[in-house]
Amino acid sequence: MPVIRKLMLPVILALLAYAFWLSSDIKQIAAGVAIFLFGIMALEDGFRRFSGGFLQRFLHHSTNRMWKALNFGIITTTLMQSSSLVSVLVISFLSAGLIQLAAGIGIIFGANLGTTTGIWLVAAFGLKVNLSAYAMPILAFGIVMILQKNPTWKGVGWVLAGVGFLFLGIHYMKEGFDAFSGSIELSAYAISGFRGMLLFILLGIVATVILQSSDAMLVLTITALAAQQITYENALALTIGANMGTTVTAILASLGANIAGKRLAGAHLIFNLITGLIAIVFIQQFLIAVEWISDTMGLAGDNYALRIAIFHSLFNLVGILLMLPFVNMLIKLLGWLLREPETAFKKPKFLHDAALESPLAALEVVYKESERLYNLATRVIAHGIGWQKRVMLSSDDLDVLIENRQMPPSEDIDEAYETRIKHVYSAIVQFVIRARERITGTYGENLMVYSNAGRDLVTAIKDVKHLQKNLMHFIHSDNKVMRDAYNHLRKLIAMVIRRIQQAREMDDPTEAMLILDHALLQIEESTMSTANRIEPLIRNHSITAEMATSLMKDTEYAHHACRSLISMAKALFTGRDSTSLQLDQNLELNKEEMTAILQKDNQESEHRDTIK
Amino acid sequence: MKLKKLLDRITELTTAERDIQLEQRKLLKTTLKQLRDKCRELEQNINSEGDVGLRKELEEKLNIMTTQRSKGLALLKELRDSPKAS
Repeated sequence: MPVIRKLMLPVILALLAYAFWLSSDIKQIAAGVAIFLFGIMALEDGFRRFSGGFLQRFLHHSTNRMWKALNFGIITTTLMQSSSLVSVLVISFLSAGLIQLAAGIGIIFGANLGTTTGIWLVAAFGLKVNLSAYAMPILAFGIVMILQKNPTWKGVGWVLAGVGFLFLGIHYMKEGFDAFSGSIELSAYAISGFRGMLLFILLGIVATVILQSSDAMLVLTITALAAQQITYENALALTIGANMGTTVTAILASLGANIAGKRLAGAHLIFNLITGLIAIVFIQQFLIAVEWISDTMGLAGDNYALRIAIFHSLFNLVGILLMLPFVNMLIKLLGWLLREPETAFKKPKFLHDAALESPLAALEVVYKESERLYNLATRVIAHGIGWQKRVMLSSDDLDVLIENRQMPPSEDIDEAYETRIKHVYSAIVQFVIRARERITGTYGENLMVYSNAGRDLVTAIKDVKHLQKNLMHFIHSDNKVMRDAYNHLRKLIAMVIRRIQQAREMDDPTEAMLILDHALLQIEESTMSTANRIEPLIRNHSITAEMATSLMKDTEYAHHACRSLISMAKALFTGRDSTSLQLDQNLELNKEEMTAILQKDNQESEHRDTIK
Repeated sequence: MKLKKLLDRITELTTAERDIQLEQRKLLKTTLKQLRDKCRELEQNINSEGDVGLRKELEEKLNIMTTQRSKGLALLKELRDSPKAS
């Protein structure tokens, strides 16, 4: 496959060069196709510039029902005249989990019908009107707007330039075929019958794969038909081929996509293959229907271009009507055919290149992946310090659990980090760097907040790793003082993770922040009490000086791990954006303020004891 | 002409900075209001709490919020007194 892909480009270039040498008319047709494709790219770029906010919100709310998704696909593709842009956006939203596969399938079905409207416009007006007369002013206006600094004007400029180039491309293709018809009679090579139809379907598929655009292929077909270079039957077959060939673009795009994107590309392929097969099998019935519609519309007998447009819309519509009742079955089939591969290393589940296309999708996938990283990390931390994650997160009394001494065999944190954390965290960092090349402003800053949350998690794991060896040694030690001290550290980390879980479940962000700030106070309390306790313990020979240094260092590691976990939780689980988090940092209590609160507490409790 | 452009750019920059500061003040005011409401709620809960341990926890939380609120008020004053804010 890679060899074929490598060879494809030189072969195409060589064939083009040979064709240009043969005929100057082919040069004009090829230039027309190139300008048309450039127009599609400009149009895509223009719409992409608007995809920062409005489009995403609109997409999110307009696809929660199948009929809405279907209409959304039809309308957006009609407006944008690019089913590939719609497909890319749908894959990005699907991978971000903003829409379900069923909605994605609905949009793709709708896009298949929406894309036929372009052909209607070309067939109805494009071949009769001198499009180049409109293309020039549109291009001029478009380029002036592209040169503006304002991003909205820039976007409008690219859309206008796209439309201008599309018109210009159609004009060149038309001119090329008109001149071509004077020199060579392609229709002489036309093959009739079923064999001819299959051959032209294959030709349609191959040409669409090379052009990477069914729209360009269909416009090429209509202009060739208008210049009588191909027969009506051949044009019908090319239309079916173009419809089938367009799925290859989606399949290529999904190669780097996650499993959801691959399933969507699979749904696209199945839909287009089935509609193509229906069109082949029932070609006679379709032709009768096309003739009936043409007569009802009062089309002239020789207006084959519009008949092609009717045929294209009709078999896509029939395909949708036939496939809609089986969407759930299709989803099950795709789930069975394309299963998530199991690997020894944990890999990112939500991050996907397609999500880079939209700021909202990028933010959502990074959030979901970070949340997953937290879940993986808590297991590593829990097992690293002799807790079972389930037990650690339960509501059972931690002192009782420690007393019972039920603990799983400790896990090697280095190995667990390599297999469960490293790949996922690296993928988040890399994704955020790539996303921030395109995404700026609040979305960009919030991406950074999530990335920093991942860094805090990894810091906590590293701290626990440093602490693990001594902890696992001393909690089994005969020295009760050391055993209690290290169990206290285990208890502290478990308490912090429980507090994070509590904050995570809170609807009120202020309450969630308060829970985490209170946990910070408890860590400070632990720091103070350890510092006060160690010296007397050495003095009365309860522990050796070596034990004391180990305990002091490990207490530091444990406290640092706890603070990192809380910093991560504030960023990830309190629903705060980057601006709010910056303000929260300004309000966060420093060491002196926490000490003052703790001293005040101690004085109050002493006062209460005296009264009693 | 060049001087005018320079002045325009400076005005643009200072306006943007002032907008950010106004936004910060607005956010801070909302946060302070939330903290005040939470403090009142905690005070009520402390009075009705019978368990010593839970009461201590609530008191600690109240102390945290009171300190945060004082810091927030000082920050708000600082932002108000800042020359760009006017």
